[in-house]
Amino acid sequence: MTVVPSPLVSVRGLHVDFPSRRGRVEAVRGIDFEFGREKLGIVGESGSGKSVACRALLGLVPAPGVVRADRLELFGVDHAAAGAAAWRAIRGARIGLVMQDPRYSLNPVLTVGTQMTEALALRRGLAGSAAEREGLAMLEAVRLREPRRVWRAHPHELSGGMGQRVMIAMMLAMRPDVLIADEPTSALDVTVAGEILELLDLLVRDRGMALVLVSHDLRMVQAFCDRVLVMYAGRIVDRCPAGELERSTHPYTRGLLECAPSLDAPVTVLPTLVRDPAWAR
Amino acid sequence: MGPLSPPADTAPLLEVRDLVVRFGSGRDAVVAVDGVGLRLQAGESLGLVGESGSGKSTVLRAVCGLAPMASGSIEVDGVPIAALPPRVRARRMQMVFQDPYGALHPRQTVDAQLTEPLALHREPDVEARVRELMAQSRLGPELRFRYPSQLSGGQRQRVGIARAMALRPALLLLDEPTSALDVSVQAEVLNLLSGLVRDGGLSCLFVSHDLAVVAMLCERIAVMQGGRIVETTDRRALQAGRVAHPYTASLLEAARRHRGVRSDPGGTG
Repeated sequence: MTVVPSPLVSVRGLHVDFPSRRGRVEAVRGIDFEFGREKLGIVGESGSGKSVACRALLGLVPAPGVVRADRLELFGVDHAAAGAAAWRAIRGARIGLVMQDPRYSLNPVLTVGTQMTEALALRRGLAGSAAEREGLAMLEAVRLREPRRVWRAHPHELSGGMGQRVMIAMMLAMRPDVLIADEPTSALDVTVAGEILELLDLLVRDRGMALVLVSHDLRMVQAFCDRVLVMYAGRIVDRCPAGELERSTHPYTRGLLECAPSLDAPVTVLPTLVRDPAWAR
Repeated sequence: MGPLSPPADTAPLLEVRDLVVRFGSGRDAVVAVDGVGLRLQAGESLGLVGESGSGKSTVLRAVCGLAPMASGSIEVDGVPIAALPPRVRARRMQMVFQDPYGALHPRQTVDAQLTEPLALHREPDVEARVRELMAQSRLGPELRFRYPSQLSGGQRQRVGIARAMALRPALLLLDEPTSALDVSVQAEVLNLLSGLVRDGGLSCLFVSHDLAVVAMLCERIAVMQGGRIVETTDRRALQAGRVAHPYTASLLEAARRHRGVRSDPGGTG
């Protein structure tokens, strides 16, 4: 195994634009960040550019979006001008993506087993009983109680939490170095969300992977990640270790920290964000 | 029980007794709600929490006549909902749905959606009422002739609330009204609802899976699991960590861990 120098991913001057009838929409406006084998949180509201920035790390920004970067270094190779073949070589294999709603990520007409077998054949050259053995082992690794039943099930026969475990199992089967989880728990109940986060934490620690957790919920990210980037209007406006978030003085970060209701400090009026376009200048 | 007893002026605003809701029939029948009872006096609010599939949303839908009642009774002001004329029912209770994208007519402006219930109920001075509703929901006048696709998620949900408030109902049925929104936008919508409940004397039946969200609006909270209410508690007991049912305890732990104090990174996680 080759030793991957840290950081695994290093991004300089990343821009993502979407042309529209009323001119260019700049979704991401020149951001720099890097990460190694750690848990990085990217936080911001809808439209802050956090998801699009992560899609750019997978070469998955949908047309007509345009990605530009001074450097987009993934595992030591600059992908700023990479072609389709170069992206295919790392997508899934070295960087996996888990999205918000398993109901839309899984193919509704194929069984879990069929979908996992396809991926295992394509990526790891496994077929037949070897693929099934590996797939079942992965379903067990994500703590599904009845891996055999899940293997034979269609997605509609699974609950949201089970579906999300299947998605994570499919990503892990490819043994990626980096897992990007884009709002992996927002479609789930709070108790199930907690279990999924614990599972991610365990897997990342056991396998020495890097995890990027994308969310609008700063409190959740704070409780889970090592380091946090806060995005606003396409820019990174604040960055710090999760343990120091409480001391952040940026008004946007403070607003995101304080706007969630708390059982222990109940209020009748929650603080709301006053957004200042100058933050993203 | 006849429609004459009990007298309407002393009856609770909402009373649900032994409600059973069943979907499908025969071997495939699913009992979504299995004997639920609850009572709300005018001005009182109740939170209904539970996991997906616990039946909490189905209770709400049954109350406004959107789910088939297999047995039991639902009374508003002492009158069974089936006997309540639709016009009267619309003036007593209104529902706000989880997904503001799906709940608004995509081809109608904000103005049209707010005007419709007022016109149907022959309310006087529709113009002034629309302006009042928009101001109450913090919707700027510039949004009045926009379509839902031209609004943000939070603005759409505020339109949904403004429309529900158009006929000045006594009871709002809230089905996860903020779970499709960012935490920051949720705060704006919760503040709006909290103002209506606290200052407007409105009652609400608030369904959510998030204890902290429910506790902001509701003093009393009922916890559902498997179609039944397994525990009825209140805000103070939850804050003190006094819970009887293990499922309530797991909800409380989830609310604390992911929205409250940062846990020890090397500890239980």
